[in-house]
Amino acid sequence: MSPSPIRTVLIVGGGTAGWMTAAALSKTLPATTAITLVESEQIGTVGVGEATIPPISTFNEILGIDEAEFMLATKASFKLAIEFVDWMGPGHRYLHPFGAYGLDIEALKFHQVWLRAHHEGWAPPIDAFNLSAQASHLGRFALPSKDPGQVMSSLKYAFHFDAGLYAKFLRGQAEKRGVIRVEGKVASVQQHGETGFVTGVTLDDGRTLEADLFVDCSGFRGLLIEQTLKAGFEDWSHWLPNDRAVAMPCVTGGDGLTPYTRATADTAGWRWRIPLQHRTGNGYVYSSKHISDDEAVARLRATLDGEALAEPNFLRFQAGRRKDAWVKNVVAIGLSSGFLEPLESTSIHLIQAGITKLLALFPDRGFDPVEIAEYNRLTALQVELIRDFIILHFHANGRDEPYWKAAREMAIPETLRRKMDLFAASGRLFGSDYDLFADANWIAVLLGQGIMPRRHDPLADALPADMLKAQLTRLSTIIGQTAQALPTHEAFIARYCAAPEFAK
Amino acid sequence: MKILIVGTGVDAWLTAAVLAGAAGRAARIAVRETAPPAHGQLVGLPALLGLHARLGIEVGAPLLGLRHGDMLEPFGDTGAMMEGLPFHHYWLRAKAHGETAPLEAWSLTARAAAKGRFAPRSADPRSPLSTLDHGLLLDAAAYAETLKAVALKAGAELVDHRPDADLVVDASGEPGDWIDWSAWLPTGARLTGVEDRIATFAHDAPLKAGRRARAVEGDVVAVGGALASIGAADGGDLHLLQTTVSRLAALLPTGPAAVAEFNRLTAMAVERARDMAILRWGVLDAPPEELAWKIGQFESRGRVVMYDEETWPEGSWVHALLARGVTPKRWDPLVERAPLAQTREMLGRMKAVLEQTAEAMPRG
Repeated sequence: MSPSPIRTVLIVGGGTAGWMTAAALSKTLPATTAITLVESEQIGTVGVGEATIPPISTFNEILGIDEAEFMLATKASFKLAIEFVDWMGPGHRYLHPFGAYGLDIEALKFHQVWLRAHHEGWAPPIDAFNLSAQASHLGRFALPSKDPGQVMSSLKYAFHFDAGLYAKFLRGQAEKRGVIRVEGKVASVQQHGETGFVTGVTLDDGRTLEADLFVDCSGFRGLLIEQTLKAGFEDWSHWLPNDRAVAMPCVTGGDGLTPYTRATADTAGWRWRIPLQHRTGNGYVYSSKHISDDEAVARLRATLDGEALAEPNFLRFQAGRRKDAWVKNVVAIGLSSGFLEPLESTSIHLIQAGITKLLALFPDRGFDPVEIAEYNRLTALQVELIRDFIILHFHANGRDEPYWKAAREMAIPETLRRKMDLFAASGRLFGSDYDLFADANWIAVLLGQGIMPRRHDPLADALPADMLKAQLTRLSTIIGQTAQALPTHEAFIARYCAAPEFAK
Repeated sequence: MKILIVGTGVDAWLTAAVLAGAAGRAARIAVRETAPPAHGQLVGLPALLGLHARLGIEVGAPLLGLRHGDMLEPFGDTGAMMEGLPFHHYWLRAKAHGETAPLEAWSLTARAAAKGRFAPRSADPRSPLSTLDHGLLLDAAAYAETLKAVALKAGAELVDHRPDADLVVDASGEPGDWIDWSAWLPTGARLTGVEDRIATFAHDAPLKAGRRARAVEGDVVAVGGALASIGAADGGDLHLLQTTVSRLAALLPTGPAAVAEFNRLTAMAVERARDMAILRWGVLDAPPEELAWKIGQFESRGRVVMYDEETWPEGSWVHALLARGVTPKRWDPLVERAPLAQTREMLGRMKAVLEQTAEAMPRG
């Protein structure tokens, strides 16, 4: 019933998106499908997204990747949380940890119980009920337990890694499975005279590469999806005005190899700190309307916690999404499909989500518009939910500078407004099945950004106070002790996945 | 907080039992019973068993599936995911190459029903018995009495006046300001019998289909028959009641933000259940947008779109779409990673295991 299967796939562009796509397609498509990737060593890759979120492990598992081998190859460290510093004003900090807070009591959500305790004035910080947060505070790590009865099963983690090395690692896998890599720059694109479908690309040396399906991993410019097929771009810069970043790695100093990413609010944007085994990645994401490139790089240099290891690398972008990520026989994956700043480490996840959807809706040569429409519906839905989550961080800030004042005063998407209002009233949340971020993620950032519900669920008042106090004390004690018993992050990496450059 | 429930039967007493159980001392639940409970039989979906476990009740007789017209829709799993792909794609491919057995031949629940066997679902995911599931056939009046006993024991009070309340639940079963859906659903389903633990339905019940424009209006929240009418005697109605009441317990919609969210989520839930009713026995000439999209996606490649707030699980949609004659033009191409012979052998083996497992289950 599938008379016209896709015979050939051409991935245009390497980098993280290109090689993740190549590795996944070569693992999952029938062996008869020929996959080619064209990339040019002259075109740099962005590779800013060095921090990830937990679903990356699912992707690696599907690819049959051994975790320790992958971590060694990419000089990776573990990530349990993001620490947000100064977002509510100088000196303020909070963690957005992976995993849930506490345990729900029957139908009652744990955070409602915590809110009651908070309103009664005796609640410990909510972090005390999240193992990933406690391990972050202590700089400790070990792999979680698979037994859901164990407290250690509640530890959730992702990675910090060198995205360039990850692409290289995946390239090795993909090439082993028959993906052909072509070195070259695309000079022109050929389209079918009537249908407008892309038929092939011609390289600057004159070679032509043809395919049934094209995956556009060419980055911001969207060589096929935008320059050729004019998919259009939905601009979100009125909500997310940051349009530049400057990145600069340094020798790891300061707090050392933290098992968490740090995102520090600054005059006109925010700075990331991502510790790897051999260095720390740093960057400043900012709005060029509010500060100059020189000011940004000076600020970044001044805040490095070790000696700089490279010259500053500047990036330009615009927040928004491609109106259609899939047009005709071209699917845009990665930056070609849109851009959201990596505040919640979603760049690599969005690549993964694109690949997952492409596999779930993998076409035949008929390219049924019904399926393309579904891909585009899902993409829009997912990325808008992530967009709302990111806007929340900026909108609910507590800083004084004009940039931050404007973010506080801007009109936000109705979907986010509704969510914030409901939480502010009584701490309630009703997530969509399509939302990457679960209730616990929203709770961490809503509370962290100062949105404290005025009331809690009245049903939380049904529990006797003494019992509740005893229960919360027991829970936080167990979580605290479990975290204390873990090895340090450094010690764990040293025995699990240390690259030669790992000095500790 | 004071909540007054005004109404009758299962609508009123399921609401009271859930709210009184969740609220403990935090809320006072009063019930004003407006009429004795109606008589008749009700169908509950498998998800109702979870609620019963929380309420500590064991009622009703197990049901293994539903029959609308000639088509059987068993509860539980049909086949198993393989390589991350839903089973029916493999079946569609085998069918195109001569497989004659219907999809439900790979449902242990359906095979058990055919052989007059029964066993509860196993919690061990490696056992074929973990693919079983069952719903419930309930006597409406007796069920209402059981729920009433649970509610009163948990602290709900029976009142014969109209006390002050922060929130009033309309569980009267009376339609309010209806959005009219009769063009899609001119009639409702009617239980005509139960054979081999399969409930059979005709589709000739009189119906004035629609929903209230807003589930919460002022301080009154509508549940059950007062909220919407889609004629889903096949379990859809009772499941909607269950989810509306759990949402009510989770939100206690008194402030504007909570009311707006309750109305938004409830409208979605009712509409998704309505879509299934239309698919099963309604008029499909110009279906609602979300249902049209769902049908289009399934027709194109057997993909089931699951929206937020669905009542029916993915497996029910597969059976119902096929039953209504929505036939996928092709299957997911990724099933072709496995050679056809291997898929056929796997299907044959699975079918034999299910057959043997059903044979070994206790009679009764």
